[in-house]
Formats: sequence, structure tokens, C-alpha cells
Amino acid sequence: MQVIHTFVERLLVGLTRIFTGILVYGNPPAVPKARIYFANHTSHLDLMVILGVFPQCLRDRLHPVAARDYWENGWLRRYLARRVLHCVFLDRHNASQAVQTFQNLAELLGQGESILIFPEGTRGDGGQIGRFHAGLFHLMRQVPNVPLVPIYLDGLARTLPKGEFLPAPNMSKICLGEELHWQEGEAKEDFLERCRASLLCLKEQANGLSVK
Amino acid sequence: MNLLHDRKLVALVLIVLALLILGTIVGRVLGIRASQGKCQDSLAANFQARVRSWWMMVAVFAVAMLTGGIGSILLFAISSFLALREFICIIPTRRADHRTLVWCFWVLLPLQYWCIYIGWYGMFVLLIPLYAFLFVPMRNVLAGDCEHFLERTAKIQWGMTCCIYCISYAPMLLKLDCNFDDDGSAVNARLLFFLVTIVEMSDVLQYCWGKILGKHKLLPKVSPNKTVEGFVGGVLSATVLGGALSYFTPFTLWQGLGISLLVALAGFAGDATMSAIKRDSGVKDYGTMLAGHGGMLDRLDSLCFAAPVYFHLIRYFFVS
Repeated sequence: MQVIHTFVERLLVGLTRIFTGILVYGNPPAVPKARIYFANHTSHLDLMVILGVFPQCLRDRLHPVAARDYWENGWLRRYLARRVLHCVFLDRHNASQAVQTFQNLAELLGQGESILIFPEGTRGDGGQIGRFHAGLFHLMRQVPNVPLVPIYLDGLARTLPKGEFLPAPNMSKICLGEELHWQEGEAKEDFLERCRASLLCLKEQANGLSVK
Repeated sequence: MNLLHDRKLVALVLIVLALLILGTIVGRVLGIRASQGKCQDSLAANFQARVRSWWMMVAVFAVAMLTGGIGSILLFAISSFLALREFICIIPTRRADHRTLVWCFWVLLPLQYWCIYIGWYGMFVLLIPLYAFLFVPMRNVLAGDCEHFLERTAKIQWGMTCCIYCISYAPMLLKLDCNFDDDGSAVNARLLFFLVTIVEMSDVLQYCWGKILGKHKLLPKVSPNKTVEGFVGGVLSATVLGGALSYFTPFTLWQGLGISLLVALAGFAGDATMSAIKRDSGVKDYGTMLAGHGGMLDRLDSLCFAAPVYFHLIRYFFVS
């Protein structure tokens, strides 16, 4: 069965390559290590693009955090999220369940696995980067030594916006930023703002890169 | 179509191979000179990257030709797809355009190349300039967003015409029913080969002449790298090359010279136009697919304008 899951993953990543010519800025990590990646979220293709620039050894150990209410809905989504993409489900509406999930995530990180989280909590329209939810902060408090890697994705809201089934091909960009670290005693709002600012900074770079 | 039995086509391919080998040698020499500090590193690296891309492109093109008509049609269909993808990237579309774009990519583009495959000339000529022209605004109206309506519609129509319609003229050459007095079995394949060689060599020669002699800027605002010397030298040498290669085509020497001149001029117009669109959008290259060349559209911009002109010249004068 694992062969089929891997095949489906590669197929999805390959199709995404066709739909979006991916321009990579920054260096994708090469060695598996516990890291928390966080990215802006505009499209279902986001995750595929990120997987596409990671080497296979990292892909296998990357666990995206997925909204339970959306990804457990229907057999196809459930299959993709569980078997193919190794997602960890997060309950968006039940705080005590969410706390449990963050403990599980911290354990995974302790085993050297990586986590990918979309802190906006939902897909935006590709314009502004939305407000960050507190989950990232609660997770970081439990694993203060794990580095954070910001990832900015551009153009995917145009390729496959929320609510659409068929993609309109387009060139997209993925920008990987410098690692961020937990600062002892930092307040929740400050921490989340710092993380969001790192994405905004990458966004500015991404826009500047195409203009010469 | 048995291409290998056509001696003239084989000779053409050998000439292109010789040119590539020459390019590789020049690249090596430039590399050595750069390591001795006699010329710029970036120039040598750029030149070598371009030659490597050319090897790739020629290999892909050769394989497409060898697999017969279907291979070439597929190759140009994929090129159209990639070019349109780059074009859509640099024009600002809105959320309401999404479904229209889905139609363009997944229905109209395959339909255009399907018309070529079955040799339906009437629909091939009209599909994009007429039916897609009417369809795009209609589909945009259904999406119900009036903001910048004409601008958005026109930009999509532009992308469709340049990236699908114009480029698709190249493989349509294979379906031309010419009455040439020519002994070869693959005369259509040679017509296509001739077009691609002249257009691309004109680009390369303009670049080379510009690098060697270039002083006076031709279109400083549109494309700062273009010089009068590069333009004149490139177009003239491409014309001479076309005259020399006319032996391998059904054209006489004078026809070969005239057609090459027109093709080179049309190619230049395409190149300059696409540059202007890029400037307008604040982008230098359309993509990074081909090392040293920018994107697919950067390589196909000349062919875009040259292919329709070339096709209709031949159709007008040589097809009864």
C-alpha cells in the first residue's frame, strides 16, 4: 500500500509542477532535522509546492497540520491527508482537543520529525497575509529549541483559488527565509507579529526579485 | 513520412549539429580566456549556458520531428502551454478570470492543436482569432466582474493569440499541401526546419553582432541590449544564411533570401514587442526554464511573429 501512497504523492507533486512553474528563492533544507515550517496559505497547491522543493528524505518526515473539519470530510480528503500527506489533524473549534494536538506535535518534533503549519488557519485570497492564530505560539512554548522556518508562497491563489476545482496554470514563487528562534519571555502578540513580519519581508523580496 | 530517406533533411540536421559543435568549442575557448582574465566570466558563463540550452532544444526538436507529425504537434502544444503559463503570470488577472483561463488552457489550446492534427485548416485559422475572441469576453461577463473588464479580456486574448495561435502556425507547416517541384519525401519537415533555423539563428546572430560591434542603441527604452549594429548584422547574416540553406528547401536562391529577410524582420518585431510587454509589466525575463535564455516565451517571441508570416507566404505563393 505504501507504494501506492508514495505514487499518489509524486503524481500530485508532479502535476503541481505542470500547473505552476515553481521559481525557488532561498535554500531548501537538505538534512532531516526537527523544524517547524510556517507558510502563508492561499491554495490547495501550497503544500504540493512545498513538498516539490523538498528532497524525498525530508518529505517523508514532514507532517502538515490540517484542519480536521475540512480534511476529515469525505473519503478522498481523508485518504490524502492521512495516508499520502501524513497530516496531523487539528480541531479548529475545540480548544481542549487542540491542546492535545499540540502535545502530539511536540512529541513528533522530539523524534526529529518536521511540522508544517499555516498559521493564518485558512486560505486567503493571495492579497494580504492574514492575522496569525495563537497555535504556533503554544507549540513553540513546548519546544523552544526547535528552529522556525518561514516560507512565503506567491501566485498560487491565481493558480487554484479557494472554491475552484480546476487550476489555471501560472508561474509561482516559493521563498524560504532564514531560521527564526524562540526568544525567552517574548509575549504572544510580539512573537506572532515577528513571525508574520518575516513572511512580509519575504513577500517584499519576492516582489522585488521579478522586477529588474 | 520517412525523414531519414530525405537526404536534404539529413544534411540540414548535420549542418545544425556542426553549428552546435562550433558553439560548444567557442564556449570552451571563452571559458579558458575568462579563466586567464581576458574576457568577462559572466559572458563566458552566459554563452555556455545558452549553448547547453541549444543542445537540449535541438535534441527535443529532433526527437519530435523523428516521431512524425504527432511529435512536432505535441512539442509545439507543450511550448504553447508553457509560454501561455508565463504570459498569464506577468499580466495581472483577477479572481473572476479564473474559469476563463481554465477554458483557455484546457479546452481551447488542445482544440487548436487537435485541428492541426486532423488538418482542419478552416477551424485552425478561425478558432482563436474569432471564436476564442468572442468566447473570452462572454465567459468573463458570466463571471460578473466589471472592473477593468476590457483590459482583462484584451490581455487574455493577447496571450491566446501570441502563445497559442501564432506558435501553432509552425507545426501547421507539416500539413501544408504544397505543389513544389521537389524530389525529397519530407519537404514539409524541411520547411519547418528552415523556419526554426532562420528565426533562431537570427536571434543568435543579432546577439553576437551586438556583443561584438554594438554601439548605437536601437530601442533604448524597450530593450536596452538591442543595438543598430546587432540588428542590421543579425538580420543580414540570417538572410545570407537563409540564401545558403535555400538549397535544402524548395525555394530558389532569391526566394530563400527574400523569405529569410522577411522572417528575420518579423522575428525581430516579435522579440521587440514581447520585450515591450515585459517592460510594461516590470519583468526582465518571462521565466527561468531555459538556462541563459530566460523563459519559454523569451525563446519563442520571435517565432511567434515569424511563423504566421512564413506560413502565409508559402501558402499564398506555393500552394495552388
